[in-house]
Amino acid sequence: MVFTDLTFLFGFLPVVWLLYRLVAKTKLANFYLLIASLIFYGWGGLRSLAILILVLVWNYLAAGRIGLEEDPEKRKKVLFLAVGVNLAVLFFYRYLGVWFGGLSGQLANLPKLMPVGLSFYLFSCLSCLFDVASNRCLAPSSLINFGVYAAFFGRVNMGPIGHYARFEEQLTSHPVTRAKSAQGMSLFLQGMLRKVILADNFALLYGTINGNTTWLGNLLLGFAYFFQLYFDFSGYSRMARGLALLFGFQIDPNFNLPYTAASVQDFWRRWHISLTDWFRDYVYIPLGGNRVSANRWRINILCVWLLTGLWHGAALPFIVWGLFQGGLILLEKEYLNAGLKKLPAVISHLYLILTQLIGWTFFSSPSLMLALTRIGRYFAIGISEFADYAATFELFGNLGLFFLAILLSSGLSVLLAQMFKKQLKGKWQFWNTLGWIGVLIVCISFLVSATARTFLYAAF
Amino acid sequence: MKKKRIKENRYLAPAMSLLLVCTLLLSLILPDRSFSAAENRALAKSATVSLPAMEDGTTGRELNTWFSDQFPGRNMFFHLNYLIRKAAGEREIKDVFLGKGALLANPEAEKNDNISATINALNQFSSLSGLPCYVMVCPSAATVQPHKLPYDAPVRGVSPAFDALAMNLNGPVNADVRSALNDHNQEYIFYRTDHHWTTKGAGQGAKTLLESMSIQTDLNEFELMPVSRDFQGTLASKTGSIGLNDTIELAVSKNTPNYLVTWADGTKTSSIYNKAALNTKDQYQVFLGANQAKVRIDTDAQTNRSLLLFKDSYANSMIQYLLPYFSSITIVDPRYYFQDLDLVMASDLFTDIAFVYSYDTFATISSLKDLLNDWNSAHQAESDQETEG
Amino acid sequence: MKRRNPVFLNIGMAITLCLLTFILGQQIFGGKIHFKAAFNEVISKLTQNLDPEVYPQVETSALRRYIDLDPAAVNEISMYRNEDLMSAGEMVIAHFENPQAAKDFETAVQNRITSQHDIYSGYAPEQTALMENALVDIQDNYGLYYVGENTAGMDDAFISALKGGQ
Repeated sequence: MVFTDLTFLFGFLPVVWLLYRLVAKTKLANFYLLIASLIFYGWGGLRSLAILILVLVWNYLAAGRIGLEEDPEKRKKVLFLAVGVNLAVLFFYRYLGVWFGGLSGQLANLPKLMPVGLSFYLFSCLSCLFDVASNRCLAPSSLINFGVYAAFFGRVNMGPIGHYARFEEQLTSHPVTRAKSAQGMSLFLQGMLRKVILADNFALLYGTINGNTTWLGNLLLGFAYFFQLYFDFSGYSRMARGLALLFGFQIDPNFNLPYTAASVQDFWRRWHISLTDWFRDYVYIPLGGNRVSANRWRINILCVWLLTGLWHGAALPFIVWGLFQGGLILLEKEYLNAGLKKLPAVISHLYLILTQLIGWTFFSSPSLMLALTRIGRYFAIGISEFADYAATFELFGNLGLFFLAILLSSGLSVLLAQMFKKQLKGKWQFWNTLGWIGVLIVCISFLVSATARTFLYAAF
Repeated sequence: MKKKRIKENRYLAPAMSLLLVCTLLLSLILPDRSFSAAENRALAKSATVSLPAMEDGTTGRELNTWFSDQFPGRNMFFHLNYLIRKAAGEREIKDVFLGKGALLANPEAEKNDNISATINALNQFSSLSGLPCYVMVCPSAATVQPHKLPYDAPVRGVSPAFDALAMNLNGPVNADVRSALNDHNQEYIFYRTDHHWTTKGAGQGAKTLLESMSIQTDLNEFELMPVSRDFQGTLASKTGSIGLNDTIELAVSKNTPNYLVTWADGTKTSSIYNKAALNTKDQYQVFLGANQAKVRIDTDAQTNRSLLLFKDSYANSMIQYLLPYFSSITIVDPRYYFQDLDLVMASDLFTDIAFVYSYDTFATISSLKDLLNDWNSAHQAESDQETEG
Repeated sequence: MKRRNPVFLNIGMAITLCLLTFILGQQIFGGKIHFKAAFNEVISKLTQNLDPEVYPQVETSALRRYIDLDPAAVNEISMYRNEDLMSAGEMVIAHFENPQAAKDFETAVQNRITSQHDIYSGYAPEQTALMENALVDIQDNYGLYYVGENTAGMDDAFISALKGGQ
């Protein structure tokens, strides 16, 4: 089940949300949420559910075992074993088929069988193991609470990735308040707008203009993906945070207007924040972070980015993408930052957009060759002509879409919202409610008419 | 940098929960519908519940489809989507252009070299059967009425296919209907909401085909009688359009002879029209019904010419123009005819064999080519034996 | 806080690990398998064992006389049976590209078995028996339907033909 299924919106959600009020203040609250989450996840297949449950149990037991072990050497060993099994499961589904698929048809088929959200909930589980091992917190005392932490239906499919030590206290106390419900519902609807109205339509554009070899067509293709990925993922994250708030949980934002960043470094403090935090806390810092020699530090950075690329996918373009990002960050830290600060803001923003446009082209291309070809075309290398009818037709037909995308990704929408609020004063709540109902109706009309389009980041 | 927090709207959550619950109740209470007129397709009414289906997620998917298909007010949302897209400036939905007062389907891309393969099959069939063959491929509105397209619409080009027909048909006569249609392209020759041509357009097609068979015809003899003014065709079902309607006309002439129609299931009627279709969603089926594998019309026209017609649904509205000129017309649709073609060939002494197809079917569907090739290979073997023996 | 017994945790972890390995192993070795064999190779290996008098190839356009399946719905398909309606023997091999095609194939073939069985039952006991033992083997991207004497042998030949393609 995904958040944009009508079954979820008008079946699962109202039932689970409203019945929750009966158990919210009792000891059964988390148990109820866990059962609901298992039903949500099991909707996609009992086999995937079985794997989720086994992974949860494994990590819960392993965390407990680590917590009991006082000898640091033995602790490390148990940690390695626990982490190893998790990574083995991840390797089995994500990398085995891609890297060794040539050996046998059965292996090549494996990535198709990957349970939804594996990369996300596995990393949430790993966070718990690492936090317990480094004494940041105690091992989870209840499998139910741990299950809610890692597999809460609000974020099991696509994150944000959990940080156990930071989240732990909410497991025992997550009261629902009017303010949280209000904010939660607002975030949920904002996310739906981004996913259904923006991301899905950029996906349509991408599908239509794919294959076009003109400069304009290629640029449209690049920006279609540029915006599709952002609104798909940030939309989902917003919906996840909104849902969590409806049940009393506060999850930190996963995106913070990343396209307004002025440098690649800044970009990565604003994009998929939960993942970069994870890599920083559990890979970068244990490797020594920046408290090592300059050369070792560079290796640390590239290592983290190589792994980040790999996390997204097993194919070569992802690895190149990761190293591309890491390389840019190194360049900035060592040479460019001073320069960037002196440049006018517009230039540094354009620099950021250009670098990410190129980066995402690696992401969206099935092969490295195609990625490089497309990137070349941005700079007019290898284009058939400047523009053709197909490209101009799509450009003019999607002006409204691009306008809305720029409005939202630049943060102007927030300013506009504040302006509206000031103007409407007392009547703001009425108009805001009406407005969101209108957005919901528009979203339903798109959902009803569309052929199914899955969340993009769920493939990672 | 601290982001300014907007104070929450305390009505939002209660309002939404009310909306969600009411929709859920509506969805549960309202009875399941089995067909959507707006989308012209059957709606899901159940889901497979079995252990293997639950294991791989099939049950979940089918339950989702069921819920989504039976969502209250589904049609309304479908139409709303059309209006929103139009208002936002989109001029194409699911490969259908939203043109000036009409919907125009983008011609399909050729599949698997279908065109050249079918031309070869036609050539061979013509030489093996020894009968005069006539081929007419009909372009759609997007090709013939470009003035109705939205500005800059990237329509797929069909000229290569027509050029191939002109150059490579060897044996069969190529009846090129493009010029006749272009001459009349300011008239109502294509439906606004359907991919077919109108009765007027079919008239031009009939005239072209008959002239290629050296039969002169005067279209003015035919009177066009409207039988429906609220036809909404396949393109409306695809896009969810509202506000566009079509008129269906029947072409009758005082020269139309009496005739008897024998349908695929053996029943006989005295009219080629299926008036009951006017009360259904797909009113185009008034012409010759739907999915008829083989139809035979015997007329009392004073001629000994007898026609075998291979067609897709485009020719359905053209047959009414052909009645005065043949004593019998046998109509075969290779998409539904699976018997031996020899049975048809032996059923009459045909003087003419015609192939009338829309461009889209001709370019993508292989059933004509398959049917002809099966007959060709059987008769090629015979012909080889004869030359050897 | 009560101290948990590490032994229990160890046992629990061991059991979980076994179950995980079992399920993952099932994904590779059990279930439907996706083969790389080429359609023509599979066909030739299977038809080697067939009597061409009893099982001549059926033309694509005539396929729908027997099976209610649009040949365009699957990637490739071949059917073998003779025109004698009293003969139950037939074989269909199909190559699919997506699960929907596999499902359509399975439905069409099951319907065929049912209708053939109903036709023969009551007056043609041998043919009825053959229909009852009809073989349907649907893998991830290949499907076989066979009615005839040697169902076990045919299934083995099918699987080995598929595996032989790798």
